[in-house]
Amino acid sequence: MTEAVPVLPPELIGDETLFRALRTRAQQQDKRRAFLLRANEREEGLSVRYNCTGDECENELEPSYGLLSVVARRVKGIGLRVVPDSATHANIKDVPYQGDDADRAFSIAGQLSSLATTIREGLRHRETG
Amino acid sequence: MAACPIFDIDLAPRSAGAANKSLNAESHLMWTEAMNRYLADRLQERGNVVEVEHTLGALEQASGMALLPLPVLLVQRQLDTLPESEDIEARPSAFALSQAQRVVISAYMAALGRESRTRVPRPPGPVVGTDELGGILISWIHGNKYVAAKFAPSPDLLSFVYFEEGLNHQALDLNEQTLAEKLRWLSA
Repeated sequence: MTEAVPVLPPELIGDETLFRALRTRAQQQDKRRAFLLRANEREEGLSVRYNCTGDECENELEPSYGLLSVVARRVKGIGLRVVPDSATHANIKDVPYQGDDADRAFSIAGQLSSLATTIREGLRHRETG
Repeated sequence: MAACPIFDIDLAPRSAGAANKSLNAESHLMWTEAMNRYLADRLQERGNVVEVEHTLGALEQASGMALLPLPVLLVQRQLDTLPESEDIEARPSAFALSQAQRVVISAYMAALGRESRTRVPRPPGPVVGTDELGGILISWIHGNKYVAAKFAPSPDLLSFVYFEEGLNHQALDLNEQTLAEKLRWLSA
């Protein structure tokens, strides 16, 4: 029997909690940095996890400096789209890369960081075993 | 103050109640360089900015001489140790590091002036880090104001200074003048 492929909505626009992990101490100290588009995200958008626990998200990084969350409808509220590409991963679209538009990139990163809640912060190594 | 190297330097005696201003230029330079090394070592040993600030103030008062402002020393130390940090995504490129060291130190000196006894508001401590390509990003936060200086990893990529206060924000070309202006604005 074939496993059913989950049907993904075109956008997340409700109360879905989106997670973005902090990769460095500098991101922990200046959380806006966590929402700057990375070079490898230019095509797909700002990568976020959803429909998972915070620990599951953080464990993808080694080490992690913390975890931020933001609600999908609030991201929608500032004019961005959250487009899922799997049951637990989505990309925030329409975020400019700082090399292309530094002003908007930093401004939007600031707006996202002001909408975000800090779930955890501080150096943590991946849980094993 | 034990084990302070400056007391090995021959200083002219102070007149009572007045700052000593009779040192020649060479002694001044030697004294300043020794003091900066001493302060950098103390910072590295203790990481205690408050203690070093007190030391700095006491030495300036005792000697009547102006030292390099402590914020300059601190940011210089952060940049110097950045390549060896375990706390970064990628090592900074040589280009980004040399640009950052040159521009940031010059901007601080322009923003603060060399007379540390002048009560010029000092910028808050910066957050210093790299991006995944080896560029350097330095940011300052003071209340509702935000300034970020991005040093690109190579000359063909964009470097800029971004500032924001509420709905007012802009990205400008990054050089000593624009960064100094924004550091003054941040601290005002």
